[in-house]
Amino acid sequence: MNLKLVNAAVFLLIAAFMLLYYGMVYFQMPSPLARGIFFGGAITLCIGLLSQHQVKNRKHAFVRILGVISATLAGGLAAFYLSGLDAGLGIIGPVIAASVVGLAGFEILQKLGKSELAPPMYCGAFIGMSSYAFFSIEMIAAVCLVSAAVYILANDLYAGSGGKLGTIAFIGTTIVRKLGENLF
Amino acid sequence: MLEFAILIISILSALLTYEIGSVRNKSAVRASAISSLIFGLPVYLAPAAGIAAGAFAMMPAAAMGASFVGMSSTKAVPSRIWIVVSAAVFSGIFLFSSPAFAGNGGGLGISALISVISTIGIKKTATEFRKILAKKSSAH
Repeated sequence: MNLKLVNAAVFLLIAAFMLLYYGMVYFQMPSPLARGIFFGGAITLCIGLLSQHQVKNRKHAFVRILGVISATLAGGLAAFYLSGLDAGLGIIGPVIAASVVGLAGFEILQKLGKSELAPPMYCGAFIGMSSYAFFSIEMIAAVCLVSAAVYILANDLYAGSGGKLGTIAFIGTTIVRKLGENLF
Repeated sequence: MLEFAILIISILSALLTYEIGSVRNKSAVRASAISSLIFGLPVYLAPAAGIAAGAFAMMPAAAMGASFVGMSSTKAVPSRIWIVVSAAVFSGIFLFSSPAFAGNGGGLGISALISVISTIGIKKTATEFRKILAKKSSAH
């Protein structure tokens, strides 16, 4: 497989989703001043994206494909289940569920000596933050598979930029939700 | 008022995560989870104490999203000032994010990545600007 092509494709996929999400912000802008700031932000976003684009013929770092898929699935299903759980104080909610899964999962993975699987597990926890109004548990499992694939292909693109995991989760949820709306 | 509260919470949460995760070099995943629990639990527990969370129900999500900003490595975002800028950009995107994507997991994460990449863009523009200014002053 041509790694350069894969890198460029995944880079463009992530950039396209970012531009889509940012573009949708425009329709929420309340005033002309805010719209001006929006366009200024669009320019800096593009400059930032251009500075990120270093598609070299890198060797993909060795990742355990099965490990990444199972970590994403475990994180996603646990967080989704937990966020809908009716605790004594009410529904637990996505933020608490995802952070509890992230913290507990990290400690467990560290005990097992597999702390390199903590990022995909946390990415799964973000997938589990999806709303029960739009997602069923089967759809969450499908999202986890899509996101695990993107995670493996993205490898060290956007490395070190906060929010990369969430973006990968967002790509999965958007694709599966759109497919789900059209198929069923 | 709410906008201001979200801005402050975002900056605090991002700085806390950056401090634990990147500067102190404890894992970023753990740092982000800890800081979203710190800022999320009080709002979650508020109804039990008889306080209506009301408008502040948005706080945990803002804190969690901003903690993703703080997950940036010291290589990508080298100083705390840029984390503050990035968290401020994040709170803007968070406040105006489209309802079309509501309910999709990962919306907070993509807002965080957009703000981090924009901040890298702002930083690049600022350094180029400074270079041009320095050139001009040395030419005179």
